[in-house]
Amino acid sequence: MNSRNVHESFLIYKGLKFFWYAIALVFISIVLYIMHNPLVEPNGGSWLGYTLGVISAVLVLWLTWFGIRKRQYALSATKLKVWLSAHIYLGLALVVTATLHSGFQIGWNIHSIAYVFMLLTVLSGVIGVYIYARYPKLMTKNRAGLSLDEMMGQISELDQDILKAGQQLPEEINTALFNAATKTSIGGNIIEKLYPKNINCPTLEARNLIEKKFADMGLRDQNISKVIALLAKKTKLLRRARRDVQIKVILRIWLFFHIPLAIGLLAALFSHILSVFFYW
Amino acid sequence: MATNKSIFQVAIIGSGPAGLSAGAHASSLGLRHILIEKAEHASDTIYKFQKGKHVMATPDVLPLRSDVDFNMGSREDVLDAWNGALDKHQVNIRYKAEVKSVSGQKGNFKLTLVDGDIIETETIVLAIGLQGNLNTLRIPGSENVTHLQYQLDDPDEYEHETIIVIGAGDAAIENALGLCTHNTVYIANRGGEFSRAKEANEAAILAEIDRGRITPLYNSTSKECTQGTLTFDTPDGDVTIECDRVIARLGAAPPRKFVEACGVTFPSDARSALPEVSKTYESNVKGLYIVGSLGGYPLIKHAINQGYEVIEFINGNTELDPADEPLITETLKDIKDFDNDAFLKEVRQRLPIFEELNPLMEREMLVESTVTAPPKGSIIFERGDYTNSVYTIFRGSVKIQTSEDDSSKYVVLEQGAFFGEVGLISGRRRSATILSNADDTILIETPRRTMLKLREDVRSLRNSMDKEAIVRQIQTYIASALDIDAIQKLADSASIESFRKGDIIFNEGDEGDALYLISKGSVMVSKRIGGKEVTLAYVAAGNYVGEMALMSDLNRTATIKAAVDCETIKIDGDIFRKLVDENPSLQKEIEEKYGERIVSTEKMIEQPEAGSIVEFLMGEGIGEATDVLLIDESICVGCDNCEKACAETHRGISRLDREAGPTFANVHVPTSCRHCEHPHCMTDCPPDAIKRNPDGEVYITNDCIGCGNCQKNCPYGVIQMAPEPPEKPGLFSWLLFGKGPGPGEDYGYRERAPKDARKTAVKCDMCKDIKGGAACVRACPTGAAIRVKPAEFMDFIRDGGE
Repeated sequence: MNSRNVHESFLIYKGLKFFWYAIALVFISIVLYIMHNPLVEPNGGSWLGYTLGVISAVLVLWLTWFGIRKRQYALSATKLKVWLSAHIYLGLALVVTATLHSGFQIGWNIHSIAYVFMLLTVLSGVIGVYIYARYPKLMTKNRAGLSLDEMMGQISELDQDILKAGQQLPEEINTALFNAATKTSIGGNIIEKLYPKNINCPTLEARNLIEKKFADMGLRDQNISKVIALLAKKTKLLRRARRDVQIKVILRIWLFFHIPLAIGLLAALFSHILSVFFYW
Repeated sequence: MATNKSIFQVAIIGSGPAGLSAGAHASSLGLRHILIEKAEHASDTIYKFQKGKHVMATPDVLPLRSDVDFNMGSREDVLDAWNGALDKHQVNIRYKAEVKSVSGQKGNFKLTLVDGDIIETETIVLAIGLQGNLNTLRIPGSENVTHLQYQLDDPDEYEHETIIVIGAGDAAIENALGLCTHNTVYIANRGGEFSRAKEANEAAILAEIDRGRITPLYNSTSKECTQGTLTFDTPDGDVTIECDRVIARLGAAPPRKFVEACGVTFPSDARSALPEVSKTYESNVKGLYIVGSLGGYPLIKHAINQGYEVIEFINGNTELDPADEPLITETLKDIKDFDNDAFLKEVRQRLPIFEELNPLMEREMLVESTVTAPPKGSIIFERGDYTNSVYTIFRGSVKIQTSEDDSSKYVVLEQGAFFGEVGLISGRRRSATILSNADDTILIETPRRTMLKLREDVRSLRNSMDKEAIVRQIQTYIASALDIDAIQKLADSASIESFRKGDIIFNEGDEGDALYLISKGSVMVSKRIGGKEVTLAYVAAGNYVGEMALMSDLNRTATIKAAVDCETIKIDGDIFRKLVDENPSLQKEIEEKYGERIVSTEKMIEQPEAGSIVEFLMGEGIGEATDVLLIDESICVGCDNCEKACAETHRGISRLDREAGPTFANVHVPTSCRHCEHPHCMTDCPPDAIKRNPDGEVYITNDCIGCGNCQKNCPYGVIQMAPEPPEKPGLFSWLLFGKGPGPGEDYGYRERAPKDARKTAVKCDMCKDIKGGAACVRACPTGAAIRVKPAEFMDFIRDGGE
């Protein structure tokens, strides 16, 4: 635990401790690579090639172990935050060690498949880091102290009030309001969650209808102005609720790429190592 | 003793566990006996338990000594066993018989029943418990209607009815809450609020009234009833309501009046006071014995044993040791030079605070206490521990280290003194390290609950303890450098003042006439800046406020408000000022504190946002927390790994709800235990199953009987009642073989558990049994979850909360 017990993000853990470790690893690898003078062109078969290969393979195994470690809840050794911090920076360093291991020999073979999987996994991870760094703040801002449940509660209260105010209004409005109250959805399928603007929203339709066709009645009928105000309030809340759902999905969705890619990488790495030793 | 064959040798009043056991034993000894029961069935209190309620047989260590069997089980099992025992032992029981009065003396008592019958007996065993007689509704028509009842066994029995619940107490509220999901419920209250009820119940009923599920009838008195209606006298005139059922929860007349009418005296006027009895359970009225909860033994097993024992005593067996004798022996196992009786006798002679305990109270105190003989120099407790038991010095002496760094500074306490009471009162960490100071030292360590109960019942104990506590707190928290005479002078001028949450202790601009030492709770400091009240600080128990105005000639420079219920020691300003003038070292200490405060005030004024966070956190009850989980929402990615980790390390049930709970700026207070200084959950736990570790964790032991009191009493909603979860497959059998549910996955067993499954209370135990600390914090991948202690709050707010 820190001496000062405050919130400290995984990215800046202990003054970027693992960032500096990663930099050191990258630096040493590059220096060795430049100084190394193999018999033929640089490749994975030289002593440095093997060394970098072993380092990279160990890194891959250790990085994928994160998935297990994350679920070992009772393990007391280190905080998960520390693991994540190391996972990120050493994962980035892997790009360099693995590239140097390849000696820049990329082609259509089993070995390069492992390399490409590695790059894609790291790329998805980088996207994940970007998402983790950016979206929680946006989520907090969007929530402004309300949880999704509380927003839903407020929306359903608004619905009651809207229906009540709309009782005496023309049939067309009434139907639209009823649809707005019963058929408005938040979330839905993955596309609707990610792009809430594309949702077919009965509340918005009702609002458009009233604002376009009936707004002039507002002077005579107070209920119209009341419904307009309430609908505006509801749309605003809906937007926030959908935004909340959207951010929740964004915070998760990258993992659906990162993890399968990591498993693909493991398989490809295994084939790569096997083929190197069996078909010398 | 008279030998008249027509009179009973023993009449037992009340057929609860104690009376029943006494009856069975009297019968098997062949005594002429009668067991008198008011109701139509035996064991009315247990009979009225909710159906299927689990009855516990605690304390486990106590051996059962009775002709009646008793094992843990459902209400039905227990009652069946007891009714079987009544038949088997051919107990002479008379149902529907209520004793109106008792006259005569040992050898020739006369019991007059309500129906006019007279029972003559040589001795009486009073086993009527504490339930008392339910008050009934006495209004025109109430005798002739059938829809009126005075209790509710199972709220689920009724559906789609209109039900009026009368009463404003906990029983009425709990009934109304239980009924309101399936019925139309009114609650009739003679007053305008529900303040008499427990806080949790008050909040729950007001919430249901708000939601419109319960209709309140305030300031309404029932006036008359006819079949299917009830008329109230309300501020708007008479109101008649048609209803299917009226449940009147008008409380019970405590049995004290009846007991006193029998000639038995009580030691004090306190509501919880119980009559004094001898070692053989005989009261001050010779021949009249008192057993069971009325004699101070609320647990069923105690009562059953006492029923057996009292009959043995009456039958002339004076040699019988009480069933708890082995427990006393166990407590005293390390004490070589006293036998049990000698020790018990010496306790009251040597220890003035226990002087007025009756023998039963003393035995109970000793059974629950630990008696140790620490050799010279061994540590009894350390500064910073969270234990809050109280120690008394039976023999020898102890050394209190008054300075953290300098072990040569100490105070010695001798035989007869007590220590540790400051922690008991404040609920905070130990303020000093204490060591044994003699090789023959013997200490009695009495746990918190026992001590609080004694403090309630025995006035002399309370007085001497409170007085001593004032002196000690002044010594510890204000003036460690002063000599004892000067401290005594301050203490004499001091008085204890209590404040409710939100009360103002003093206002900015008031004249400063006193210093307040906070002995319990915590306060908020605020100041008007630019026309707005800005919160500047949180001050916890063990600190003082009000010195600024005393040290300068200014008026109060800030407003002090109680953040939670508080107790303060108010010290007279003039005496304090004079003392400060006479003591340069004290003056220096106070001036240093004054300086620190001014600096931190200025810092806070620069950050008005931080003040708002203090206020928000205090509003969430952090003022009484000892350790609270705070989430920085701007880092939290919502992965719920904290909840999963909690569930995985605590048998499948997460004790925290991340998303629930309020948020201010980016500080989120999830629904999770705060390990309060004075835990609300502990206030009413029948088996005393809620404990606190030296490190401060409040946790529930396996003794939980599932009564749900703690859940109701927790104002923060962090306790759940849950059935026992099934085993989960291991991590690798899930990963490799797809055996579900996986780590952190909810497997919905709570929904699938049978309806009558035994539920016990679960709450956060701060992972006290897991190395490495709270799993929720360790499992947070981003560092958003941290746990903060009160001493760190202000740092957290200034450094991290912006």
